Amino acid sequence: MKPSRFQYTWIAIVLIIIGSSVHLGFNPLSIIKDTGNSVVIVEELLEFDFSVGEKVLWSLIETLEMALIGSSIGFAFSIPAALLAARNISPSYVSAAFRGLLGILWSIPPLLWAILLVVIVGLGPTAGILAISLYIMGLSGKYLYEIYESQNVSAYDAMHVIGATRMQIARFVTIPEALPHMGNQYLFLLSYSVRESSILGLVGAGGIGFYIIHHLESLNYGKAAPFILAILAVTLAMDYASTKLRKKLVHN
Amino acid sequence: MDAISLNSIRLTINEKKILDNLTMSIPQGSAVTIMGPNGAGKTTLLRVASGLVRPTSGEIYLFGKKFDKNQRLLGYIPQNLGLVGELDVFTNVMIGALRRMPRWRAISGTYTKDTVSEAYSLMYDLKISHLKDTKVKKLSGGEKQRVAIARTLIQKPSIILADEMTASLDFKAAVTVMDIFTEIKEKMGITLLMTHHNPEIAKMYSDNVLILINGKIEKNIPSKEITKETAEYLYET
Repeated sequence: MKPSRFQYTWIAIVLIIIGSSVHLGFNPLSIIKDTGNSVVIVEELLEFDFSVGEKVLWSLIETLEMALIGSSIGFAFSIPAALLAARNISPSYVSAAFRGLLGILWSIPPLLWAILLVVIVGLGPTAGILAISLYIMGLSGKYLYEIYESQNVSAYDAMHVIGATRMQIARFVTIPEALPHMGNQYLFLLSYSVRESSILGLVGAGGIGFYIIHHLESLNYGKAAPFILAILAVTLAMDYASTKLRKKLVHN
Repeated sequence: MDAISLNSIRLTINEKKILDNLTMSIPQGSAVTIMGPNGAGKTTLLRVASGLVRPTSGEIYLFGKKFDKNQRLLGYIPQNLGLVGELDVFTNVMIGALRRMPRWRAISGTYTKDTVSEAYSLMYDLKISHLKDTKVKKLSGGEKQRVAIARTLIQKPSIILADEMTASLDFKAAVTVMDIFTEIKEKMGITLLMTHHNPEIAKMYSDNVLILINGKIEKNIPSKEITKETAEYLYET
């Protein structure tokens, strides 16, 4: 039997993956082949050194604060930016410009934003907060304008015949209809930002990542372990809490 | 005097004729129903008449004057009613009065006493006062229809265009809504142009019925003359 178009597509995808792996010299078995190093790292990580307890606590608080401030600023700016980017609300030249802006903000990962911002504003959490804000504004803005554009067309028709202005349409239709999605989205972005904030310290932009990279680089795996464990616990807790809250929001 | 006249309206989309040299006029104060099979162009006709869609050619007159959006003579109830489900009944009704308020009042939601009392009076007439703080998404089909009517009436329109206003209701609920609506409409001297699928409703609540087929008015019949055969003819076409 001749393979279908669907099967050809899958065969092509598998071949591309194999080709890319060969090109990069990727061998998944290398993690097993050199078990010596893996065992040493795991053993040392399990020797928790809790002398860093106070630092874990304060750096964790800093990470959470960075995530909270960064995601809130980014999310707040994404609401009007998405209004300006939505084709059903803004003139085409305005929406094209804002789609471009949100696209740029979103396509640069937070870690890269952090590297750039550390150069501009210096080391510390300010760079991290700004990196999170910019990325979240792009991510949230893209999601929001798609929500705005998929809203009930007849409500917009009714507003146009009434003679409502763009601002009035945004105030009375676009934003209220998007509110339940926004609550959901904010919670998701907050938990996402906690994960992102935890690695920004790698480039000196504040948060728990700074201590993780510092202890890993100085081969103090036992000291790095409590930081990793703390971020793991907080991320899981945030994920659990935000899922619960989002379910509650949907039911209301 | 004619409240609304459409002269030689043509609308072509992707080389397909949606409205084909359509001419019609609706006398002031009358109620006219447009009936026709699915895809005949009923909704498009109302969208053109309301100014939402610009015709390829032809002219629209409201009370003898060429159509101008700033005249604000029209109220429009779209097919899905166009309500904002996340807002309460009162705010949905007030949306109809936005155009009459200063912009800052409309945006901040600080309405004048007169507008608020008009909204209350309409909600009372339409028997939805007790629902004023309820989110529209929680209402039944009939209640939503009444909110849409109140939102349109507070605009103080001279003409109302209503697209399949009672489509989601059973016959009894449709009659209840239409009874209240007709009473207020007559009191306010409003001209009504609506589309319906139900010949019974058309017969009860309109003076004339226009039969629209393939974007053309095929017949204009007094509603009293609507028979079972008319309905069968319509839906077999």
